[in-house]
Amino acid sequence: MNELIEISGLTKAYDERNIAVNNINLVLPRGKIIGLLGPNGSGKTTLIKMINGLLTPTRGSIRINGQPVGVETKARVAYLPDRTYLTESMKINEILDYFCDFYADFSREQAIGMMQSLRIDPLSKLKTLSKGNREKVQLILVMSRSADLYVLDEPIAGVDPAARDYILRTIINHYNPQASVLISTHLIGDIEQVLDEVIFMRYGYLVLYTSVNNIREQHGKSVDAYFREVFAC
Amino acid sequence: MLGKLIKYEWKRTSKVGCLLLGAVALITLFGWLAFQTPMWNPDRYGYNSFGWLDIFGILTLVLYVVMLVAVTYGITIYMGVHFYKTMYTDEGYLLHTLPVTKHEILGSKVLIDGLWVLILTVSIYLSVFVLLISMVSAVTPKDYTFFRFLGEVGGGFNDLFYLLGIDLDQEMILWVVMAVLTCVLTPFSMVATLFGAVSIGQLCAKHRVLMAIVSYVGIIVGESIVGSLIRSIMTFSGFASLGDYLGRSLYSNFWINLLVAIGLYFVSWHVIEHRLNME
Repeated sequence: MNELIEISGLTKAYDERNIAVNNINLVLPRGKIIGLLGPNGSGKTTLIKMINGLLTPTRGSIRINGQPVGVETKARVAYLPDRTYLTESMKINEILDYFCDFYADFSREQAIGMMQSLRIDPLSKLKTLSKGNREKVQLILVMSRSADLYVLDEPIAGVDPAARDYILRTIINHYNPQASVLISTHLIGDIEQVLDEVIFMRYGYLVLYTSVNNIREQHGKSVDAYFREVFAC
Repeated sequence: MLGKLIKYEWKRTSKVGCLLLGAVALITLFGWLAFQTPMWNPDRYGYNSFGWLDIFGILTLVLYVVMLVAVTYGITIYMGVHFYKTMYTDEGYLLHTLPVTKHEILGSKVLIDGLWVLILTVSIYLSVFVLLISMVSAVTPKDYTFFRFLGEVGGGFNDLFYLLGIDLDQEMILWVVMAVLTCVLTPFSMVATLFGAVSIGQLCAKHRVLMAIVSYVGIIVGESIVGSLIRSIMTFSGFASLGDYLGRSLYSNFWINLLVAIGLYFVSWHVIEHRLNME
């Protein structure tokens, strides 16, 4: 079974006029890095939250590995939200213990190795780290899992170019090759080099789902340039 | 996974729990000190004027009562805020993406947070008991022992129960069982009710914290109204004795609290299982 995620008729409506995701049908394969692209307010984060069980769909369904979102899928999905979700008073060592306890696919050695390369002391408290390092710690925790699906919500937003390079390197070098990575961003130029496929979203609708090569061959443009054309104001 | 969730919930809450226990110990010391001033037994100390020590004693006693009330409300507020923070704010992003069931999440919270409320309640009872010993030794003659005091209080209760028409020989075990069950289960039903109210607040699109507070007040008022209604029905339907009435009131309150708590536990479960909307 090559399908990793099957999304069918997915809708999230906060009220009649505020529909964040509108009747999306999508099947995503394994072993790909997929960019979830769209301007602010296009429904990217809403879709990601529904994949992770943080939002209840109004209609439709999501299946990951053939199973509805639940305990089994959460054990196989590694999620990086667009905010700090760790308790800041915890020491990094304690956070590592927490991940070891709950995620069977988490590698403590890999996480410590990645932190050492950034000179982050596992004995330090999260709140003593800079904002950039806190974000890197979260990314390291997520990428130290051997998951089937990595869902990264705006992993490079609000960080300097050097940190962006580090984050992208971390994603490419540490994800399970049998898995897929779903990366949400509107900074396409920075991420385009690592993408296999792209999903374009606008006003909650799925506008396009295709491969990066297809865009380059059919339109003779980079994803960034094509995105600007499609979403021109 | 439940064991792991319990472990981390205990770790998370133990700092504030121990702090509040320390506060109870400190205020117990204050309460004990308050009864060491000469004004409580001027004959024993041969001291008849009201001095600075006595003012200190009264202020300390006032402080004892204020701090005891603060600890009682403090633990309730802390548990409500802690539940909201870990379930429905940024920290909830981690908790709700763990491969655990919603019953495990809720169960660990009700168990540990309820346990802390129970521990603090017992510590408050002990504090009042220590204060009582301190008071008795302060206001009674030197040869009057605390055990004698307990014996007299016990005798007083015996007379009171007799007046209320309670047959202690027959009903004592039932009363003790009900009292222990109420003491042990109330902290857990209290946190389950509190968590239910916080979860109901999450069903609103805006002002979720305000709606949680309104829900909690509404539930407590609703429980009181239902309790009063049941007591009124009992009054009109007649009762054998005042003790019979008090016993039935105790049972009805116990069952109302328990049923409301169980109902609200499932409300919380329903919200996080089927209506979760993390902002």
